[in-house]
Amino acid sequence: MKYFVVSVDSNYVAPVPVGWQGIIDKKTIHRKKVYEMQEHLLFRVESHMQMVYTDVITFPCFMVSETVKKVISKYQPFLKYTRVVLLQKEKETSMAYYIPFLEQAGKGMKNGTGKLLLGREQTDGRIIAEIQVGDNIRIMMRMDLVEGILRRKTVGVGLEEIVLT
Amino acid sequence: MEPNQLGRLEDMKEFLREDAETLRRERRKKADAIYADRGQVIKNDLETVLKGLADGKGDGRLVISCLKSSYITGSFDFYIAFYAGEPFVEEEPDSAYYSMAVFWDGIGEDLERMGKKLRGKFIRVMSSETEEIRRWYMEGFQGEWKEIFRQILEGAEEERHVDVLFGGYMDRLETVGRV
Repeated sequence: MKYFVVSVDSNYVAPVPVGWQGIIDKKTIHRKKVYEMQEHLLFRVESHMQMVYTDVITFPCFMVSETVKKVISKYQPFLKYTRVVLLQKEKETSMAYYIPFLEQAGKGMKNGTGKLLLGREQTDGRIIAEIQVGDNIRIMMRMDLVEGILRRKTVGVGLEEIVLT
Repeated sequence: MEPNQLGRLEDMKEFLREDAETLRRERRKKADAIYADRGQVIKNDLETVLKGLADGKGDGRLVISCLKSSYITGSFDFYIAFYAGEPFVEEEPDSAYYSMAVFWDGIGEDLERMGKKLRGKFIRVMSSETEEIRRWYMEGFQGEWKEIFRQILEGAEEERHVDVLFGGYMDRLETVGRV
C-alpha cells in the first residue's frame, strides 16, 4: 500500500500559535516524555486574513483536529496526545488540536527530483510514524488512514507520495 | 460559520453546481472520445491487471477503488485489489495501482472557467477556497468513473469468473463487470 507524507497543502494558511517556543516546538516535544507534557495548552494564533483551521498543522509541531484524531484512534487506540486549543481573539474563534506522540520510522532521503525515498522495511506495516528527512521531522501515513481522513471532509490536508525502495 | 472559517464555501459550491455539472458532462464526452480512440489498449491493460490479480486465487472479488488522495497528489490512480473475503477488511491484499491520468488531460481549463465565474460573484477568493472547489469538482466524477469502468469491462472475456466492483475506498461498491 502507498505511503504519504502528510502536511498542510500550500494553498491554505494554517494557524500559527504565538509563544510556542520551548513548549511545543519539535525539540522540546522530542526531549520530553509523554507524561512530562501538559495535558492541555492554550495559545493565541497570529492574525492572518486567510487563516483557515486546517485539519492538520505542521508548525511548530505536528498536530491534528479532533476529526483526524478520531480516525487515527481507529487504527492506534492507545496513542497519547496533548490537547492544544488555538484561539484567534480578533475573530473570536477557536479550535482544539491534538499533538500525537508518534514512533519514529528512521530516516528518509530526497532523490534528485525531490521525491522522498524510504526503505520498504522502515514502514514495517506502520500506519502512522515520524520520519527524519535531513533536519526535519515529517509525518508518514499509510493510504488507508489517509483515505479515512479525507472521507471525513477534512480541509487543508496536503500529500506527497513516498517512493518505497 | 464553519469552524474552519471556510464559511462561504457551501454558497460557492451552490453557485457553481450547474456549471460544474455541465463541465463534467463535457469532460465525459472528451473521455468517450479518448476511449473511442484508444479503447482497445485501455481495455487490454485493465483486463491484464484485473486477471493478474485474480490469477490462481479461489473465490473472491476484485475491487476498483476511487482514491481521494489521488486527486490531491495528481496521480489519478485507482486502487485495484483482490479480496478473498469482505472488501477492505484484509489490510494488505494483492493489489495494484492503475492510473487514468489520460482521461484528465486539460482538467485545468475546467477549473479556470469555474474560478473565473467565482471571482465574478465573490470578492477576494482565497487560494484555500479555490483548492476546496477543485477537490469538490474532482470528487463529483465518481459516478462517471463507474460508467467508464462498466463500459471498459463490457464484453470482457470471463476467464477467472470473478466479479469486479467499483466505488470509493472503504465506501459503497457496485458491480461493474466480471473477468
